[in-house]
Amino acid sequence: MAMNWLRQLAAKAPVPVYPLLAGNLRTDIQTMGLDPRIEWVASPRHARVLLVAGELSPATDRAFGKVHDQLPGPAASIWWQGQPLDSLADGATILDKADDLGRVAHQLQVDLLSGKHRGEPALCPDEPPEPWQGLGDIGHGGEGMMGGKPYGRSMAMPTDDLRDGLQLDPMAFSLGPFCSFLPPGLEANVTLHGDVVASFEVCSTPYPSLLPGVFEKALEGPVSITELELARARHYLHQLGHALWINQSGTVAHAVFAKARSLKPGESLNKLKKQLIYTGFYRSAGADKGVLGDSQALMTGGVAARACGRGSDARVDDDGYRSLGFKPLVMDRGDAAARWWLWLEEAQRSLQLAHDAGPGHVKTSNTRSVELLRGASRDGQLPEDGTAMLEDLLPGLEWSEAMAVLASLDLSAVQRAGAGAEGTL
Amino acid sequence: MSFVDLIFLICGAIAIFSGWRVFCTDSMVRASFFLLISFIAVGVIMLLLGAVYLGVALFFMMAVEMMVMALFMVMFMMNPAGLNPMKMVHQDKFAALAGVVAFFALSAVAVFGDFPDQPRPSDLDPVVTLGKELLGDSMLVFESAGVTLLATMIGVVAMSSHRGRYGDANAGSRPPGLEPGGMPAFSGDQEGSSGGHHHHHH
Amino acid sequence: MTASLTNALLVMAILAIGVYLVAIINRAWANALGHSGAGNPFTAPFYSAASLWVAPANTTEAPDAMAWHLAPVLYLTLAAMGLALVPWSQNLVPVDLTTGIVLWGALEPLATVVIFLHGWSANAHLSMLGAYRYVSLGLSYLLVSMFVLIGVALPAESLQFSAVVESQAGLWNVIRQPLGLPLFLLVGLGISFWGPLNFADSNDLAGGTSSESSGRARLVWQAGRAVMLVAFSAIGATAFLGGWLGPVLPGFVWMILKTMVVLAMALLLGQLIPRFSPDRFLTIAWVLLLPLAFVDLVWAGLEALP
Repeated sequence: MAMNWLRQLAAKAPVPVYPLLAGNLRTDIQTMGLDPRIEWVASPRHARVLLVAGELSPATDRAFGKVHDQLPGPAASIWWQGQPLDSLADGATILDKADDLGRVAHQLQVDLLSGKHRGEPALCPDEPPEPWQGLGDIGHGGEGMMGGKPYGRSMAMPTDDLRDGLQLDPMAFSLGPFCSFLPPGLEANVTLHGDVVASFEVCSTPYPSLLPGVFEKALEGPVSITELELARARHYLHQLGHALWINQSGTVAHAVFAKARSLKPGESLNKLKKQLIYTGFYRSAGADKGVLGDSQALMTGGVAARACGRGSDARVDDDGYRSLGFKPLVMDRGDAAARWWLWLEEAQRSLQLAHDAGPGHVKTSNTRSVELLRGASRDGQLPEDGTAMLEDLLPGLEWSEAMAVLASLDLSAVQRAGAGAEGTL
Repeated sequence: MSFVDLIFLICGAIAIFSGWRVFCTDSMVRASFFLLISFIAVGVIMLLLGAVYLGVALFFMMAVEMMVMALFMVMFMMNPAGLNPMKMVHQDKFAALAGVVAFFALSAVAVFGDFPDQPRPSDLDPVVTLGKELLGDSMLVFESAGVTLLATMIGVVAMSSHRGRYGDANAGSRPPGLEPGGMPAFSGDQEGSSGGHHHHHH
Repeated sequence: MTASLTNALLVMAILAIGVYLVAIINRAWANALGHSGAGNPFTAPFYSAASLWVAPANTTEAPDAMAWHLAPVLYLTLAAMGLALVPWSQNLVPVDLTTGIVLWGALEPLATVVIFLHGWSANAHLSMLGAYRYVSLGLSYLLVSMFVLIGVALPAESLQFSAVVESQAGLWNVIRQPLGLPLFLLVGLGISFWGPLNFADSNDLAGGTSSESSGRARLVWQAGRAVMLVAFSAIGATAFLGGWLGPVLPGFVWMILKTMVVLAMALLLGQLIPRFSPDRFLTIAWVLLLPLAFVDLVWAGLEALP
């Protein structure tokens, strides 16, 4: 079918894609977003194409259907690193290589615009989830002015306020597991008083993060410190980029992801460091919030623990690092800004270590105690999921502060990918 | 019929229609904004009458007022924002009757009243005249009313805020005794936040 | 009648060019800041606009249909009304009201109402949160904007924008009242919820008030935001940078140049500075900005004493 000139123009725009992460793949997604032919969007309503990254589990079928059906139709899905759902398997677009996303998404956009692709069927029935159950003379659901649950929700009632004593009606809703601003897989029941989080109940923990290949090898035997530290720097920059995006610095975040893609040993991050200081990133939403207590810091480990002056760095136990004069970086503020700051400092230091280790090809020597991207592995013990602490950490914060604090913490469990898993690096 | 007449009729119809809708909707937010539409239509009519400043001032006064009203109603009333349907009017038959009577009475004044014929002088600048009136002889009245209102607002916020300069406003506070120097009627930990549950009446 | 038709066409043309200009400058800044995907600043806006135009529409569960459909259009209309008040040169003023400043002051609260309705009417929690958050902060901008504009009306002894420009023949207000322009620019970022003051449509709410809209409704909404920012820049240039006044070049060229400088500055701030916490901004607005606006007003008053 021929396209009119408007559709031809539209076909040249970057494809708005909603990334639905069915695995801890945010870093990969951020790199894939550097392709100018696509553009990640924060809400499925803004997307034309859905990228399903990872293997869906049957437990999330309902949640998947809800996100899928929010794309204004006709829309299409791309499946990456996972099998299509049976109901959508017919003619499904499967992505083999991450680099191909731009081309495949663009082709899908052209097909959708020209009418060649008629869109996918809806997965949820088009009927109200809570049917009307009104009673009484005007259907208000009960006696007099009160009562009843005509839409499946009872009348909102004020409850005691956490902050200034002004009693507000709480608003309860659930988010996740495919929410763009929460860690992938995290599902939570949230109660808000106005803009303040009154309770944050974790219903399902985020997907475990798989160790990048070089860390996997570091648990087995000596690996090049250059390679290990480059992977580390890259990871921290991606974490920082996500926090920047949450706090509305999308452009700077994009530049950070672009930098992370082509890191060179010894590269200086001073320009970025200064930019973040002078533009007030360390004073933006949530920066002075989310101070971890002792047990929380130790549970989280890694950068988060060192940002509150707790915890150590497993690299001091390694002869390879000691030969490079390694000393752990520690701060004592412990808030979100301290973690963001330390991510950038650690990335800078990793690049320096990668440079220093380069000429002599210094290798790691200790496989029993390895500093991972989050926390350390000690005698084969990997860090466990720590999202339960959010239930204590987030209440009392304003929504944007809570989301920024969430973006300053890496709490998902760490898992070994096992054989055959590569490509995350 | 001139262009001005036409605009007057349209705005008058909008004002009456949206004013009527205020009482039909089941949501406080909608009711507030229907009222706003009604006021904006009246503001346009004031512009047609040559009251340039008052007409435009009505726009921003009412926009802020209705926004704040909607917000506060949602905050303080039960059944905020009409989330659950409810009957929004009380004594509706009497109110409707009173409204109709008032409408016809005022209309009768407008139609049958004997108004003096004083055309506006062509060199009159309504904004300057109004300014001279507000800031001339009546300045003391307006300014003292304005400052009183401002002081009241600041005072109310300062007194009702939980967050004080030296910590929570109710920290260490104690309800008054039943008799001078005696024990309070009740004591407990929840004093600071109790009392709020009496707000539920409409 | 022909004059008003010409004026209407002029406002329409400035509106269209303004949206395009915002898109170009925004993309140019993005490129300069290292964003690889921003595309060619001159062609990419057309592609994106066409993409939104042909994108399918959507609806939510039980929205307030009237407000949901009208809010983007009303926001664009309010922004266009603001644009109509701008005096582009001595003889080229689309709407030269004697109460121009007051009407501008009325557009800001009306925009607040429309932004609230946009988020509220979708009947979805994230967009409603954006709407309430915006309103709870909106009042603090409005007061600042009012005081700053009364400050420029004082030396002009008029509420007419063209008179405000003429009053700057000796000295521009940006020097006479140095606090005015920065405060006004901040209000502009707030009302069009841009960059650091994007509390309504922020990423931590997956797009806030516009998280539920797609296609043309979203295009109109984005265009409205862009026009609002252009209108703010143009009014800022009028009120503080001497409007059409300037040597050699014709008046409207000066006006366009000044507007573009203010606009480019606002857009750069929008890209560089991360969002504040709403709570902290509320404190800044009431404790710092509002007193500064008072100081600006007193300053303007003392300066205007004969």
